[in-house]
Amino acid sequence: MLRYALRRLAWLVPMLFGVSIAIFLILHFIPGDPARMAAGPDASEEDVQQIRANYGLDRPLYVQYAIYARKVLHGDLGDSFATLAPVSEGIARTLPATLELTTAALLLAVCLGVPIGIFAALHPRSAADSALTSLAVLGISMPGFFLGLLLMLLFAGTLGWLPPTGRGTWRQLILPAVTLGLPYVASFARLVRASMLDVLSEDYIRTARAKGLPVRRVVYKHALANAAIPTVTTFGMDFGRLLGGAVIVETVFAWPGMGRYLIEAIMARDFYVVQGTILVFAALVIVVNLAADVVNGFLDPRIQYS
Amino acid sequence: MASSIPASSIPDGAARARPGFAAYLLREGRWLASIAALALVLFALAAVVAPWLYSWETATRVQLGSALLAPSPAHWLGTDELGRDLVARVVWGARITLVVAVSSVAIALVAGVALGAVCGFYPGRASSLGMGLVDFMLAFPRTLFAIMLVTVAGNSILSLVLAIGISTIPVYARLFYAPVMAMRRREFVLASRAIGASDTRLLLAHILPNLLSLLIVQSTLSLAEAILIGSGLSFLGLGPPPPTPEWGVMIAGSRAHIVAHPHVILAPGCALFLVILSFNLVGDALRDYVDPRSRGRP
Repeated sequence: MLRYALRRLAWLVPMLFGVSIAIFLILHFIPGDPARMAAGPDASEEDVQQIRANYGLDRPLYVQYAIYARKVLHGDLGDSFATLAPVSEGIARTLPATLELTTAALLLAVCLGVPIGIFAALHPRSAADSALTSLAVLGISMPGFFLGLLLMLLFAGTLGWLPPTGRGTWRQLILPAVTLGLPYVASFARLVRASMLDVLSEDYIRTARAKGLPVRRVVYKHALANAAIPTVTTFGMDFGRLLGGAVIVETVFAWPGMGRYLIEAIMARDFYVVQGTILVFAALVIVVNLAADVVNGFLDPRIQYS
Repeated sequence: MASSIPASSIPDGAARARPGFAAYLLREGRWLASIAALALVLFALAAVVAPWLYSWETATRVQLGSALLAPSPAHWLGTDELGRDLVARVVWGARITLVVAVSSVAIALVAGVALGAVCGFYPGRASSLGMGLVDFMLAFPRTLFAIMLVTVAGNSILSLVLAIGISTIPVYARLFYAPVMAMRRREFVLASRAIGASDTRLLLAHILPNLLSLLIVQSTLSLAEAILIGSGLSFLGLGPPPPTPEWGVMIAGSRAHIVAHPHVILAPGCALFLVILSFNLVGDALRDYVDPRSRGRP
């Protein structure tokens, strides 16, 4: 088990390198390059040249990348043009808020989605089952910012139960977390339902039932463990989508997370902040996907040998 | 299109003569999907006739004297915080939304199908590498990828289209890779090859027409997703700048007034939600129509 986990985690290194090169290249296609961005539209040509030299932007691209990669490995993501503070500080300040929001949303999706999915699998073609299908379509059709504003209108405006924006108390977490997590409740439930239905028709389930095990035990011990595998895989893949959604939800609820940090940096044309936050977002996605692989290796030992 | 497919190339289980999609919807009693299809027709109609209904001027000119009016016979959906008629803006928004969605999906479709089909048709080290890249892009958050592209290209409708289009390419590449690879070894393809058909002809005339139904279903669902992502980017300020009557831009601009005047958010928001929902419902129904075994599957 440990060897498998280490082997999977060894993949982190080439993947992080690959994604950092990709992000670096894409962002360096910016017309007028970061120096012009930093200097602003009114700067003279000499000023731009000066900034370019200061940041090493006049060197060949691969040299720039080598310097950048070296700095990143030392935890240095560059400095913000706007505040002159290190980008790593900005990320350290905003990342916990983003993790808090996404974790809360995922907990909501899992705690509601998994039981609903199990129920629907045990009662196929029931009213609850078809309601689930409709809810899943509604979930993928609802833009996050519109759902967020509607919830804000109802619970913060009309009813006045919850604060509309900000972060600090647990009551301020509810609306953003529900906005982000709600669409995933139905998609999670559908996933659990489909995996459960697949597993429930297997021979070993029939054997377990035939030897007299109670339904409850068969479902929760035998079926659920195996149905969890595709669910965990998809969870890893959905995590990226969830982070993308978090950027929008943070903007709606003025949640001081990394997504808002990124959007503000784009508006201010703050190049190193944009590059740094996107790199950290990508690293998060990679780590969560590899973690999902490792968890699956643990759930199904056969995966370790394939 | 169906009539142009040689009878020998129809895959197993596919019916040769089928009722049209509209007839299918009515016969199967899929009233929700029927309403959705009707809504999409209205949406497309609004998008096309927008300039004849309301001038661009009506949709964008600031008239502070009539700001934030509630819905009334003069302004069916009321007016926004800058006094612009919301019906005019929502109708123009339909036009922008349709243009962005259709052109971005067209880009993704052409590039993605080409990539997936070529990788599937010529399996080897290069195509595994290409598909590995595609898988990686699929795991990367599409919103973030689009944000990067918009940062590079500046915010305009064109860069919005490019951002959504390019970030959707992997979806089509992944979708076409395996079926093309499987179909490469099917008898009808081998037979055409034996009588001397070129690779290009095999792909374009024999393999891809068989995957047309896959393409139609995916495109409908992609349109829904393109509108979802595009409106999200516009809401973040990465789409066309105000006063463009794009639905996401409208919602971002009016959100300060949501509690006192909810209609300014509800008009573009409901239009957005209903259009995305309709595309998803019609896409699901199309999938069942094309492959009846898929019904009820996620």
